[in-house]
Amino acid sequence: MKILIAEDDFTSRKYVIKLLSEYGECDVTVNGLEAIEAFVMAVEEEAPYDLVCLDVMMPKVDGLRVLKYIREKEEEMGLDKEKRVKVIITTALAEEDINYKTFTEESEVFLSKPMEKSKLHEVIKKFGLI
Amino acid sequence: MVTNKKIDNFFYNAVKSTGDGIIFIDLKGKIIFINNAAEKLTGWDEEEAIGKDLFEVFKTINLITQKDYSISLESILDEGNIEGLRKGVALQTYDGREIIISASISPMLGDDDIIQGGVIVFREITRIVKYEEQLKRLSTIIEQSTALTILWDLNGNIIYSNIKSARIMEYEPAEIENCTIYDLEKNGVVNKQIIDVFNNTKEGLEWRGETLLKKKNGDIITAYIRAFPIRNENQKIISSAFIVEDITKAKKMERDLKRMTDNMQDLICIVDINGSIQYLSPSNNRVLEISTEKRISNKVYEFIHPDDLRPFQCLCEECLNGADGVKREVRLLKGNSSYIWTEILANRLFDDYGKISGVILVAREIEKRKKAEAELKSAKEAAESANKAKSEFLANMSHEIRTPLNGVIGMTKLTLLTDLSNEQRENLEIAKTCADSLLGVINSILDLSKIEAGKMNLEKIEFDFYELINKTLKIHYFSSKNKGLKLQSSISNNIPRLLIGDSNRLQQVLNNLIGNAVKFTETGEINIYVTEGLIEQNRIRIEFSIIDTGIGISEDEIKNLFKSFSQADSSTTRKYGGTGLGLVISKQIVEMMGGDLELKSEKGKGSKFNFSIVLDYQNEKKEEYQSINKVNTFDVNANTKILVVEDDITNQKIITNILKQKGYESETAENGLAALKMFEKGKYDLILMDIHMPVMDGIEATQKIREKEKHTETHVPIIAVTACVFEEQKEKFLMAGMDGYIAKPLEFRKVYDIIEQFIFKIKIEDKNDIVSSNMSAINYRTKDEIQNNLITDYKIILDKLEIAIKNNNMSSIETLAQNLKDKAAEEEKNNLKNIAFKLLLTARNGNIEVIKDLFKTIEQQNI
Repeated sequence: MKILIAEDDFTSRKYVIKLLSEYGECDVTVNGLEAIEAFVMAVEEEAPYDLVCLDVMMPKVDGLRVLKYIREKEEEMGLDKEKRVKVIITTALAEEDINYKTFTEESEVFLSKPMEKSKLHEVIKKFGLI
Repeated sequence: MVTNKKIDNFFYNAVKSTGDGIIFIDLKGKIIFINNAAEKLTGWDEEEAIGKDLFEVFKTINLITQKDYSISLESILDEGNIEGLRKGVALQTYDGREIIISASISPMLGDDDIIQGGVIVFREITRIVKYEEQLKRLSTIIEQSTALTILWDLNGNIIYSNIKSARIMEYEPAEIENCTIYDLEKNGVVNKQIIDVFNNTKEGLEWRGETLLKKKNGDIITAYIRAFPIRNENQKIISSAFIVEDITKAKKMERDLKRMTDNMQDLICIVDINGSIQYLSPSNNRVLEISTEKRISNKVYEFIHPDDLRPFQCLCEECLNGADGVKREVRLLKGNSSYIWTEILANRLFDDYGKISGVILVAREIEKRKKAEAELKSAKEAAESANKAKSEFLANMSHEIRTPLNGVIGMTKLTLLTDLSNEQRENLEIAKTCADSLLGVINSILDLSKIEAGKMNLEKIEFDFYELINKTLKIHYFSSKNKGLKLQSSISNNIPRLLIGDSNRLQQVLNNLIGNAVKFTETGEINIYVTEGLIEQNRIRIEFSIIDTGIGISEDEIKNLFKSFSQADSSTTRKYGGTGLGLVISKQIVEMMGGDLELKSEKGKGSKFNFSIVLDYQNEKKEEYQSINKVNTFDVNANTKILVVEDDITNQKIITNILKQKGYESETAENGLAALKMFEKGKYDLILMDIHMPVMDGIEATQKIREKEKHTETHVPIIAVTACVFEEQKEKFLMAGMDGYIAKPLEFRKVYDIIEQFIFKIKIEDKNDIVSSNMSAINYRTKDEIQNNLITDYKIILDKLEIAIKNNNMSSIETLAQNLKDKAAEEEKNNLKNIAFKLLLTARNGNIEVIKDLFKTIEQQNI
C-alpha cells in the first residue's frame, strides 16, 4: 500500500508515521504544498497513493485545500468515484470545532488527534485497503 | 378831567412799570430814559445808565461768534427806519450773563414828525427759543424715525406725516398728502379695523396692536400701531395720532422661531430668577405629557425628581454665576407620576439692561442613552466578574493541570534514566520536550490569570542587579550563539548594585523579551541597553532597551501584540510556536513595577522593545556598587578549576574524565562536609554538587558555602548533579543557593554546556563606565550547521549524502535531499528532482533500505 502523510508538527508526524508504517510504505510531507507535489508526482508516475493522511492546520496550504485539490485533479482525470484515493483528515482541534458534514464521501474519514490505533485499523478496513 | 401834567405822569408811570424793557435815546444815541424792566434785564441802574451810549448798556452780541453785534443807529435816527434784532443775537447783561431777547428800535417822532430820538423796546425770549429748538429737534427725530407717524384731524385728513410714512407704504409723499383715512380704506391700504381705531381715538380711546397694511405694490405688511387722541389745552380732542411700525421681518422671525421651538425634540423652558416658569416650548406636551398652560408660572422645582433637586440647583447656581452652557442629567416629571431622564443645558437670560433675568433651560431626553449606559454598566460588571471567575478558574485549573503534568515529566525523566533502546529514548525525549513546552504554556496562563485576578504580588527583596542581568544573559547566550547571532549588552554602572524589588519577575520579563528577540531573529545581532533614568532619594528608574535585527512587526500587528493569546499573526504560532502570552504578561509585570513597555518595529528590519521600571534601593549601600568593577571576572581561557562533590567513586571517575577531556582541572570531595573544607582552602571556579550524600548532603553544603561567601563577597557557581529533576526540587536547589542543575546520567555535551554557561567572561570597561558582558566563543556544533551552509555542488551533496546514509543520519539525509531537490528543480532536471523528492519523503520515515535504493538510482543518473 502506498501512503502519503502530510503533517507539519514534528511530534505528530513521528506518531502518525509509526502507526501507518505498519500498513505500507509512507511518503512523508511537512506542508500542503509538498503533499500536492508528491500527489502529482505519484499520479504522473502512474503509481498513485492508496491512502492520504492529511493534517488540517498546516502552513502554506492547509489540509482541506489539499483535499480539494486532490478531488479536482481526480475529476479532471475522469476517475470513478470508487477509484478515488482514500483520505484520512486529522486535526488537534476539538471534535466540536470540525464540521463532519464536510467529509460525507465514503472515501473520506475524519479522525481527531491523537489517532487511536484501533480506530485507524477500522477505518483502513472500511476503506477496503486490507 | 385830566390835566396834561397828570397825563404826563400817567404815561411816565405806565412806561416805567410796563413788563417790556424800554429805553429812550437822544439823537446822539445817549440814554435818556430806562424803565424798570430794562433796568432788570440789562442789570444797569437808572442813575448809571442815563447819559451812557446805548450800546454800552444795551450790549448785544452774536451768540455764535461771541462778537459785539451793533445796530446802525443812523438808519433809525437819520432815516427813520425801524430795526429789529437778528436771530442768534443776545443781550449781555451788566454782570456778563447772556439772555436772548427780541427787540425793536424805532425812531421817536415829535409833534412835527421830526425825529427827536429813539425808542428801544425788548423782552426776554430765552424760553421761547428753547421751546423752538426742542420742537425742531423732535420733528427732526420724527422725520428721521423709521416709524410712520401720522396726525389726522377729526375728519380724517392728514394734518402731519413724516416723510417715512409714505415711503414705508411705497407711496410718494405727494400721493397721500391729500388723502383722508377713508380714502386709504377705499384703496385697501388700511382695513376697517383702522377706521374703528381712528373713530375710537376721537372718543378719547387709545389703542395699540398689530394689524395688516397693504403696500402700493399689493404686498401685505404687518404693522404695530399705537393710536391716541391729541387734546388741546382745554382737553378737547382736536386730532388723532398714529404711530405705525413695520414689524413684518420681526414677525416672520418670530414665526420661524416659534415653528422651530414648537417642533423641537428638546424642551425649552425659560425660568425667572425666582424659579417660576415663564415659557415652555410646546414639545413639552409631547415629551412630558402635561399641557404647557398647566406648567406656566409654576415653580420649575415641582417637575424635578426629588433626588435630582440638588444637582439641578447646582446647575442653576453655576449658570447664574456666569457659567453658560453647563449641563446636568436630571429626571423630569412625565405625566403625573413617572419620570424621564433628561440632560439639561442652562444658559443665562438678560433683560434690556444687561441684568440677569432668568435662565433658559434646554432639556433633551436621554432615556435611551441612560438605559444603554445602565446596560453597558451591568454588562461590564458581568464581564468583569466573569473574567475574574475565569481567571480564578484558570488559576485553579492550571494548578490541577500542572500536578499531573509534573508527574508526566518526572516519570518520563525517570524512565529516560533506565536502559532504553535508541528508539525508545528518542520517543521519550520528544515526549519530554512536549511536556516541558506544555508546562511553559500553563505557567504563562497561570501568570496571566494571576495578574487578571489581581493575585500577583510583587516581592520586595534585595537583589544584585548586575548578577541578575548576567544570569539572564547567560541563559540566552547559547541559543543565540547556536543561531549565529551576536548577543551584546551595555549596562550603565550608575545603577546601584543592590536594588530592592522582585528580581524573579524582572528576569521573567527580560527572558521573555530577549527570548523573543532570539526566536524571531535569523541573522544579525541583539543588543541590550540598560541605563538609569530618574534617580530619587531611594528610588531609581531603570530603562531597558532590547533591540534585534529580526523579522519585525508591522504597525497594525503591534496593536494586537499586547492582547492575550495573540501573536503578530496566527501563522507565527505555527512557525515559531508559543502562546503569545509572554508579551502580555511582561507588559503587565512592567506596569506593576511602575513602568511601561513599548515596542517600535519595522517589518523586516527588526524590533526595539523599551521598558522602564522603578526600583527601590538603600542609599547608604550605594558605595557598594562601586566595587562592581572588581566583581566576577571569569576567563575561560585561564585554567579553570572545578570541585566535584560525589560520594560514588565510579561517578567521581566518570566526571573527572569528562572534565579532563575538555581540559578542566578538577578536585573531588566525597561528601558535603569535605567539600566545605576544600572550599575554604582552595579557590574553585565552579562546583559540581551531588545531592544525596552521607555526612552532609549537597543542599546543606551549598547553604554553608553561601553563608561563608557573604563575608568574602564572592559567588562560586554551584551546579546540582542529581537524578531527581522535578520542578519543585529544582526550585529547592536554587533556593539553597545553587545556580543550576544537571541530570544524571551525565551526558558529555550537557556537562560542557552547563560549565561554559557559568564560566564566562565579564569584562569591565572602566573608561566609559559601561559594563559589557561578552560571551566567549565556544566551539559548539549543531546539526543545523549543515543547513546553514549553502551547498551548490552536486558532488559535495552526494558525498555528504553517502556519509549521512552510512551513519544512518536521517535529519542530514532529509536536509541534503531537500538541497538536491531544490538544485535539480532550479536546473530543471526533473528526473533527478523527483528522485531527490522521493528521497526526502522517505528520509522522514527513516526507511534506510529504500533510501539506499534511491541513492543508487541517483548515482546512476550521471550528473
